[in-house]
Amino acid sequence: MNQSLRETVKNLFAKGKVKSVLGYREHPLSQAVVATLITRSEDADTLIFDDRCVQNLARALTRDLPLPVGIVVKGCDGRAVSMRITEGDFAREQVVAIAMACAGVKADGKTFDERCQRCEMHVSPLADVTVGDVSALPKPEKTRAETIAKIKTMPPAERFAFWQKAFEPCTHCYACREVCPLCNCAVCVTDQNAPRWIEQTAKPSSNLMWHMIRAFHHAGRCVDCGECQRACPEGVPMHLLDLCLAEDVEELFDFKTGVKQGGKWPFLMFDPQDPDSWLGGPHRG
Amino acid sequence: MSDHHEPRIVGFLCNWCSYAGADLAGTSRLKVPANLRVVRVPCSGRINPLFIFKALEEGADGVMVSGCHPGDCHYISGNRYAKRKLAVIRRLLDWVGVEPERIHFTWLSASEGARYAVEVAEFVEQVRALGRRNPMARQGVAS
Ligand code: SF4
Ligand code: SF4
Ligand code: SF4
Repeated sequence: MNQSLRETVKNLFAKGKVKSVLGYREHPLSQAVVATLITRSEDADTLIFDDRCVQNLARALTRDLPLPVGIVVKGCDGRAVSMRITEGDFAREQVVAIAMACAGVKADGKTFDERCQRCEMHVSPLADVTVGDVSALPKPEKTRAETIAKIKTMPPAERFAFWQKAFEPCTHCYACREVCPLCNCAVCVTDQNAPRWIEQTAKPSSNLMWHMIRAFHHAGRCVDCGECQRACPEGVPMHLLDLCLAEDVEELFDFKTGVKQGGKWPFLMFDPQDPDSWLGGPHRG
Repeated sequence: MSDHHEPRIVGFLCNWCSYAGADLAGTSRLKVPANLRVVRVPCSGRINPLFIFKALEEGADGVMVSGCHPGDCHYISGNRYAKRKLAVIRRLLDWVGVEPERIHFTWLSASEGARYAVEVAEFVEQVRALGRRNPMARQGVAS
């Protein structure tokens, strides 16, 4: 895979399709896999792709990179890039998606990440070039529905207690935000202080406020790359709430983030047929 | 709900229809439960989930949101965008274990003063029937 990736990137430089490429390389000293930006064809030989490439490089896409920028993407990363284009962060032609046939990554070095176990999109739907054998990719072993089923079946009071406990260790360090490819707001709502909507102290009510708003802002935007949860120093399972809302958004608005090009975020549009039943009555049996 | 806790409701009413409807209820001298505290917003589409979560955090037991009927929005379609947001807000509350019955959404025109009074009264009872304080209320908020 490394060889064909490097050839592909050299080819893109040679044809003038990219001015820079975001990818992964091995750190020469620590051997850890790190993000890298190359601007010369000959540096393509430093690029790698294997199951240690956990980071979502869509986070590193900024408009001050030499554009057009090539970006090495797994399935989830590609959906994030696609969503950023949908949101107008980039014009389609400013980004060249180098879609890897991704069998899954292993953040712990041993087992596939949870996101990979339930992955339905091993190859980015946004793909200018594809690298690797796309015919030999694994089928999902788990589903999102299974992941969130335990919350669904709890009575309300138990649910509330579950989240209180889950958010309790949160220190409001915002690593989960910093790492998210879709958290691009110039001033995050939790940093706004006139008025101060969300207190930045670690206590039950502000923990809940932060995580509810964070989840709401990711409804229909989150691509289940799992970076937020991986980044959290306290092991807070905040991404579980994103998954809950992802299910709702798909069901209500028939919208799957970053899969189709074009279109709009479901909150920026409406259908005159949107039913009033959304606003009342029980909605989960 | 400990002893005799009167539910406190925050109502976000749009300037053009629902607030005028509430006004009509007042000028018609209809009895509207005093549990509701009204916040006038330019349009139901202006309602940010933050407003609702903040009201709940600050101890409201329920939140009522009301805008113009579909097709009557002063800004043409703000109420239709609001519907999408509200639908997900209710579900988010449900996911975290806050009863979605604490949120009430209704279309209300400037001429529906009488319906306004009924809607408010019914909602207050709906919230009272939940039988407990809003769990999201922050510690220290007056009961
Ligand atoms: S919320 Fe988490 S899983 Fe979703 S896109 Fe952001 S970092 Fe990825
Ligand atoms: S949490 Fe919300 S406001 Fe903050 S950066 Fe993310 S999307 Fe923006
Ligand atoms: S959930 Fe984790 S990463 Fe996010 S703010 Fe809290 S402690 Fe930091």
